[in-house]
Amino acid sequence: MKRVHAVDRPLPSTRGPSGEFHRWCAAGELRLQHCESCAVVQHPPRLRCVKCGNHAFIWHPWSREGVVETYTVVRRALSPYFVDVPFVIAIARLQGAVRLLARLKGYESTAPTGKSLIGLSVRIDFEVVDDMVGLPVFIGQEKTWK
Amino acid sequence: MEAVISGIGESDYTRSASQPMSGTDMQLLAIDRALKDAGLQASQLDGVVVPTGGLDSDKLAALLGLPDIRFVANVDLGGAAGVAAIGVAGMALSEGVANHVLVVGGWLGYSKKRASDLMRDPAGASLTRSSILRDYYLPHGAMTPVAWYALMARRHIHEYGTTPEQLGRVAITARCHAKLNPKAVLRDRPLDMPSYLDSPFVCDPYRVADCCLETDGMAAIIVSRDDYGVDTRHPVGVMSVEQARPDPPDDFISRRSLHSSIGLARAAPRALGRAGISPSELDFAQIYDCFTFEVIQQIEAIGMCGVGEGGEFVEEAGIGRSGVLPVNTHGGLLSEAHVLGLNHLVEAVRQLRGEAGDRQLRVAELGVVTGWGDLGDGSIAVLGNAS
Repeated sequence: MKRVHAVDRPLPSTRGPSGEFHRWCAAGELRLQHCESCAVVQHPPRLRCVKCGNHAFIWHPWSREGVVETYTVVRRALSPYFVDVPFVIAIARLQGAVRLLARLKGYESTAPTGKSLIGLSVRIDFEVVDDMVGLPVFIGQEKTWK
Repeated sequence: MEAVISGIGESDYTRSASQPMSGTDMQLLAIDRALKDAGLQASQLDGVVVPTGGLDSDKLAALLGLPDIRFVANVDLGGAAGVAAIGVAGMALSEGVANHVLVVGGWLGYSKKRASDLMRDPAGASLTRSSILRDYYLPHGAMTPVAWYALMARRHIHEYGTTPEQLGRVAITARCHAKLNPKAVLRDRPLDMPSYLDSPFVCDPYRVADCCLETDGMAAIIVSRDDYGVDTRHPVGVMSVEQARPDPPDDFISRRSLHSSIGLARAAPRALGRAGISPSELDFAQIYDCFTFEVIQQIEAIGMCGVGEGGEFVEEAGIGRSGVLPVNTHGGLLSEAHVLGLNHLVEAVRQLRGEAGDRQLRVAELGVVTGWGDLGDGSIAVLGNAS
C-alpha cells in the first residue's frame, strides 16, 4: 500500500455512506454495504437499501478479487486533475455480481491490435489519500492484454 | 385534442471564439423566427417550458412582453430535456391551461460554456449534481461523458463484435448529411473511413470523430392546440412523447446491462405503442448523437433491431438518406451543431413539412426524435405529418 499526499483533485465526500466506504479503503479494507434486513449487498452504498428501504447496514468485508467487464484508455487529458495520460479506467465484477469502477494500473500502453482487457483478473489495492479517504485501485493479475 | 408544433426558429449556428450576440439575444432571435413561422404574436404565448440550460423564464416573459403566462415548467433531463419539454407542453395544452407553449433552449457551447471546460471544476458541480458521480466516478479520472460512454461502448463491442467501422459509419453518415445542410457547421469538412480511422483516440474506443461538436446555437419551438384556429401552413402532429429513466438513474455501473439498460429502452415502446405504430413504419429518426455508439444503442432501444444488432443495422440496413432508417438528416450534434437536441426537433418538423430543401427525404410522413441525458435518461417524440 502506497501512501500519497492529498492533491488538488476530485475526491469523494467524507460524509455519509461514501465517507464510510472510503474510510475502510483508507484502512486497507474493501467493505461493502450489507442490508441488515434483507441481506442485499449494494454498491455504490446509499442511505437506504434500494431493495427494501431499510437504512441499517453492516459493512461486510469483501473479496478483493475481480474480473474486468469493461474499460477505457483515457488518451487525452480532459481534466487538469488527470493530465498523466494515458491511463486506464476499468469496471470489474466482484464476488456476488457487484461491480466497481477504479483505475487499472500497468496497462497504459497502446493495446495490441485485437487485444482487450476484458476478462482480465484483477486484485483490489488502495491508494491512500489520507486517513479519511482511500481509493480502490485494480492491479492486474496477468502481465499481458487478453 | 392533439398538440401540434406550429412554429420553429433557430439562431445561426457558429463555432467562433468571438460571439457578437449574447445568449439571450440569440434565444430571442430564435423565438422571433418561431413566432413568425407560426403566424403568432408574442402576446399569444401563454406557456413556457424551459429545458436544461435554458433562459430564466421570468426574464424571458419580461423581455417578450408576455402579459399573462399561465404555465411555466423547467425540465431537467440534460440532453433528453428538449424532447421531454415537448411532452410537458402537450400536457399543459390538453389540460386546457395553455394554448401556445414556447420551448426554447440551446447554449453558447463554444464561445462561453464549453463542455471541455466543465471538467475543470474538481467537484464536478457544474457538470452534475450527482453525488454518485462525485464519489465513485470523478476521483478515478472518469470525469467526462466521453469516458463514461466509452465504458458502455467497449462492453457492447466485446459482447457483440461491434466494429470501429460501424462506429465510423455513424460519424461519416452524419457528415454526408451535413453537406446538404447550409446551417451545418461541418458542411465543408468531408469525412471518409480512412480519415475516421486516423482520428486520434480521446477515450478508447471513442476517437475525436466520434464526439459531438461544441457550438453556439439556440432554437425555439412553439407547441399549440390543434384547434387554435390560426391558419398554420404545415402543422406537425405530436402523436406521443415519453420520457424514462434507467434503473438506477444516477449510476450505470450497477445496472443490469452496462449498455442496454437505458431510459429509451422503456420510453420508445411506450411512445410507439401510444402512437399505434411499429418501428418499421418510421420514415426517419433524429437521434441524440452525443457520441456515435449512443446512436447505435438508441437504434436498438427504438426497436429497429435486437440488442447487439445495432452495429450491423448501421452498416447493412443503413442510416443514410436511402437506408432503411435515415438518421439525423441535418447532420446532428456530430456535424450540424450541438443545440442540446432542439435542432433535431427542428429538423424533424422541416422534413415532415417537406421544407428540408436539398436534404428533403422522398417520403417523410412519420418520424421520431430522441433525447439522451446524463447517464442514459431517455426521451422520444413521435411526430407525424398532420395533412
